Amino acid sequence: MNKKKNVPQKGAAKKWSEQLKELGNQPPPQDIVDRLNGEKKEEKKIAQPRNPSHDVEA
Amino acid sequence: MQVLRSLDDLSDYLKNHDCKDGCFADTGFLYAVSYQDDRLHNIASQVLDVLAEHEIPIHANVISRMEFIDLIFRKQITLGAIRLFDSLKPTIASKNLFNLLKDIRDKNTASQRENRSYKIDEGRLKKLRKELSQVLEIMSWKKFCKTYSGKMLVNEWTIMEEEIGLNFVEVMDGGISEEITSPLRWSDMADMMGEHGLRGPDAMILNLFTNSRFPLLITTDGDFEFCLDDQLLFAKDKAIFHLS
Repeated sequence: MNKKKNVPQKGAAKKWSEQLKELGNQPPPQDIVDRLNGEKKEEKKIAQPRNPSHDVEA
Repeated sequence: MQVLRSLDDLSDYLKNHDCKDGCFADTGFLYAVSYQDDRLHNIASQVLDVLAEHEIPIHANVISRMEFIDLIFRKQITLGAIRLFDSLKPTIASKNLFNLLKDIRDKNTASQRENRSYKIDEGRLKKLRKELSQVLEIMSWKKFCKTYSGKMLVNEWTIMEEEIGLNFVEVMDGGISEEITSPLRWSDMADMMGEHGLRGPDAMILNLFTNSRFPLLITTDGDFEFCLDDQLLFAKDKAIFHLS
């Protein structure tokens, strides 16, 4: 029985090589770069929940 | 046996021969199709378009498939290593890692000057894994690989094989199939290695090609031409297209 075979599509080389190029052009993971460069990631300042006791009037 | 050397030769051959069963291709051709920095990328892309016009399926064996995936993985890690090097300060604590990445970047630059596509060898790949895992931890190495190769070797791979028109031939020792019309024997392959001085994977391709119904082999490897004087090996209507 004949299996259905894959047949090349026109322009497939361009499409595939562009895909690989894009993948290779990505920046490296930022945390790896920061840690290797000895830079600690700055902790985000997150708004603290308000202390309800401050609202209480003396 | 004919040797085809130009796109015109190839087109003429395909017009005058029945190649609907498909052709055979080696890893060098598949790699050239994949990377724009390979010196044969343009001609390989054009060959693929000619095969597309004539609707000729491409076949490779499982060894070529493994070699091809391995080359792609090593090339992607090479590209990642260069990107990482470009992002680092020369003052980083690990001089070993910095020097290794620089060495990879320099080798890539030297290869580009010679129009060659550089990919790290197994030794450098292992060293890079060791250095990144030691300086950071193994998870960083995995994250790095995931960025530059990741699931591409699974997800996009299947689509690529369909679009490039790749099919794989797998036959056990002494077996035949729809495509392999004479029994395929390891002993014949080993004999070709000794007789023609071919490496194992090349002898395997040649053994498959000579025992197959495929009339055409597409290769970037000039070594196959050394075997052409062996009239017993090749049927008259078979041809090799040598990209160079």
